[in-house]
Amino acid sequence: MTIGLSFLLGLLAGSVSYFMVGLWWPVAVLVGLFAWLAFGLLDVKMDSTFTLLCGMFLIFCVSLSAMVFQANDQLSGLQYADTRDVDGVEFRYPVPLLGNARYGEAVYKANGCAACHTQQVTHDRVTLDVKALAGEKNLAAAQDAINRFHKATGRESSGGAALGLPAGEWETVVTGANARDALKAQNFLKQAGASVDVQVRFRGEDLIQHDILNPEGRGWGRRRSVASDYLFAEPPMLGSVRIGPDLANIGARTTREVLMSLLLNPASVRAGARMPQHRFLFERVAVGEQGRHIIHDGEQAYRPTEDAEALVDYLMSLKSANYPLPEAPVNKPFTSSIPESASADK
Amino acid sequence: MAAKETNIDSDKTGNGVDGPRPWVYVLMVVTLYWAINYLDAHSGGFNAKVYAPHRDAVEVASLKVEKTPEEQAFESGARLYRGVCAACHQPNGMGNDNAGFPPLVNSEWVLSSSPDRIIAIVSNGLQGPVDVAGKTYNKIAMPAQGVALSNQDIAAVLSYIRSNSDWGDAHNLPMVTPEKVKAVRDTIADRSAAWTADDLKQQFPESQ
Amino acid sequence: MSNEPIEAEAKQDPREAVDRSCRGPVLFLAFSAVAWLLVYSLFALLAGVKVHASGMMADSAWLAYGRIQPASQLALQFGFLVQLGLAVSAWVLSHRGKTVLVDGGYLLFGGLLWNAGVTLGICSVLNGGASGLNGLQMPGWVLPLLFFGFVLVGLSLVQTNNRRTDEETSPAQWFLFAATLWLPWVLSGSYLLIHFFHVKGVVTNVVDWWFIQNFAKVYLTFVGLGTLFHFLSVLSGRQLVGRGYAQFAFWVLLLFGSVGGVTVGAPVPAWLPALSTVAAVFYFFGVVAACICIKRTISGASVADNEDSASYDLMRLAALIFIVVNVLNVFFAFPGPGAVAQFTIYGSVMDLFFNLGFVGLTLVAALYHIFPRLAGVDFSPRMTKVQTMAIILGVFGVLPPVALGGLMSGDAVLGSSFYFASLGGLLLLVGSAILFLNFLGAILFSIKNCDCIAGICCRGNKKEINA
Repeated sequence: MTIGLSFLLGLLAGSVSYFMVGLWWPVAVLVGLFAWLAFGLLDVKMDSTFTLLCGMFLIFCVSLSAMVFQANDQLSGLQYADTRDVDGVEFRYPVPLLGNARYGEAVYKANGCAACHTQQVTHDRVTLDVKALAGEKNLAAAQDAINRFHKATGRESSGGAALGLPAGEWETVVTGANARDALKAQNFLKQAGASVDVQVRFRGEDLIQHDILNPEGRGWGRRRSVASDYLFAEPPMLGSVRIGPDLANIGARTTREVLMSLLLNPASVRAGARMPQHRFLFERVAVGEQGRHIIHDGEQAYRPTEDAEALVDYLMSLKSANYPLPEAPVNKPFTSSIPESASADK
Repeated sequence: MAAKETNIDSDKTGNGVDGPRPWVYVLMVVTLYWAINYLDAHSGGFNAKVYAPHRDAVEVASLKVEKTPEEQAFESGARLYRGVCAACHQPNGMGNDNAGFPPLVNSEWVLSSSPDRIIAIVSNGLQGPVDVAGKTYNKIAMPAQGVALSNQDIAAVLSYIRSNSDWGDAHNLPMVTPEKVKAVRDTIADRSAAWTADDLKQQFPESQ
Repeated sequence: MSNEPIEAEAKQDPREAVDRSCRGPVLFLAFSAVAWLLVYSLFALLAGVKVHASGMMADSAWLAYGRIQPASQLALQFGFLVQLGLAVSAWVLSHRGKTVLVDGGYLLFGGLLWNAGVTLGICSVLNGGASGLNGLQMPGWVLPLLFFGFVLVGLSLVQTNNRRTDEETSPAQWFLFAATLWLPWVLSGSYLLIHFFHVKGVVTNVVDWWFIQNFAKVYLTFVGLGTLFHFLSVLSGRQLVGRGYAQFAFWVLLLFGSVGGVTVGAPVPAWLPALSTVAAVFYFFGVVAACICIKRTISGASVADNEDSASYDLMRLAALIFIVVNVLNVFFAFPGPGAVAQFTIYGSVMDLFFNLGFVGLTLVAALYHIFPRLAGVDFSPRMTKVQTMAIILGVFGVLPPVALGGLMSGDAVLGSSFYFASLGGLLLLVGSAILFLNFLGAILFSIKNCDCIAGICCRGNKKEINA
């Protein structure tokens, strides 16, 4: 191999180790130099098992460090976060699994619910809307700012938004912007002396449905799942395929009775459900028997076993992806609108 | 069969190094340039707190919900009310006539323009007969909360009961500040006994 | 008396000596692999049935969908693919190196340990001992069995590779050697990290994704490519053209295939999916290089010998599936398309397509070539045709529509694609059952003739007969 070609490879190796693997820059330079030498002067001899072994081991270490160790450094030291629930009550999140829910997690794991259900909420994108309030004095400046913003971000002409801006009233001037553009709009407007209000909406099929702002939402969570949501999961059973709905927030969406019926006979709860029956989690009892938790399915009566009770406990404790965290904000409505009540939909 | 398999004897390529042409390596370097830009745009700076599709930590911070002081006081007041006051005055603020707990909803004491009287009640407690919304309550005295609650707490819970629109349209009064609470408590600092309705009217005369 | 067998052996074709040394271990591994394929298709069909008729067999915990489905995955990956890969690697490494298989007994015993480990692991999963992670379902205590089994296997294969007689090695040897070492490193690394070092929270999932990525994109790919490099050149009667491409492919695939595999919506910081996308793009360079090497080697060649044409055609089909799957993978590695495909059955179907369509087909085609040379008996041609057709139909004809259906319906309610999947499962079951019977029949037939298998256990008698 020629010197020039091997130099290119050395450059590639050094850049990969710096940018992709995140090695300390002197180490990355050394890796690049070494690769240049190896390819250029020494000409990697594939016939030598020793060369193969060395190369393989080096790559093994690189991949382990780049992906696993780096993730471990970042994510193994996560702690509780302070957040608020919908009533504004502060509490520490996430909540550890209490009581039977830990055993229920083991039942979930043993029966492989993760084969059909995921426990991760995702979102597609975040859109921001900006409202502006300009007084009589700075109305012209504000309109100019709006025009400049639209030109700077290459959007279609804002003629309507700028001309329609009334004096002394809040008016939406930018819709559907990404975070950078919204920041730009805010700066332009603040320079013009106008007041600014920003609304943040996360859009995605998994999120809360909203007729205008997120029409395709399925209501599986208020925000995407992040690593802190899984602090107490052993292990986090994220799942990889959604043959059934996502369960990250199931405890907030349903009741114990519904879950018990779903486990026993899903078709009785949802017609055409693909979920197999899990009758082995129940024991049959005489039809006339009275008692708590007896479920009737057609002509049979069943009592949940310990496993079923624990599993339902665990599922009811799954209330993740609901509370805002520093790294995972939730929707933020306009504050200039007067909310209907203290617990407006956020 | 034997003749065909002799080919595995020699695996040597005839004509020198038969491998990727130099332009492949150049293409790889170009792809590297793309990769660096892609990582710059999508990797969030390899920051542990930046999740897709955000670009960096600054952007994530800019999306945070900022609560006004009024909202913060309201929320912590709601929590305090639930923990401290709701046992007697009920979560819905209606009190309990049989047990002798006066309601807070539409109570003229709560809704008076100045919060002085209710600051005093919360600090030292209330005893004796008191008229609330046309009824007289005399069955049970209210214990003092001033030791357990700080000025901030008292301000928060009073802000809550005065501005909780769930309780009625009249409950939309501005928040009570901790400074106001401190000022009022300083003036009554020498009193340790629970108030009576008459004492309050004497101490804090004001038009209702 | 002791000299005669040695002289007799020396007069024989040296390839016969190599074959004889391979016979026991390779046939054993191949047989267990075929048995596991049968087990896999049985489980897969059961799982499919459970989704259609939800009330069937609902009283048994062992047959719960969430237990059978991981068990079927394990049977396919660790039971079938790994063992058949080992069998073919052993044969190819010894033939390429022109050496007898060294310490074949270790290979055999290692295979036994591996089988024991996988069996125990699958039974544990069916009994409720699954780990909850997608790629590493077997419980942690299985690792020592698997690891020591593979250490023994490695002892045999590494020594065989070291005893090679040619100075220059071929790409097939690089790839198969690297694969043989890579699997135990990655498997034991993952298990140690998860069960011994107890990584916390989503780092467990990161390790899991790292393992899945390495298992599919490095280990299985290397086994498949190594096999293709050897057999395509041998069967087409051409030398391997493009050694430099193969070298380039080796390092690029190893470096960039070992990182990544994180979907775009995963609850991990943004750099992990971004890294996966970039790695997938660079990985594709290696894929193209490998395919150029293959294409140049076989372009214009034709296989006249009827016996091997089945293998040759299957391997070309497998190479085609390889490139198709990788083109799709690099497309869906980007966040836009990736968000559409994630969580749909497209992903699982693509994995199956890769596992069976590329690696499985390659290894089975290699088996068609190897088996007669080891057992002295051919597979029955008619049965071979039927089983091949069944497997191909099950894999190639059915999976793509299912994948497409999965993509279009999104991760909401699945429509008729599930029926297709079950049809494919049924065909696969038929195909693998026929393969199993074929294999078994051929072995029994050869034992009956007391020609070769008997040679292993009755060597003493044979010497007497010769004398």
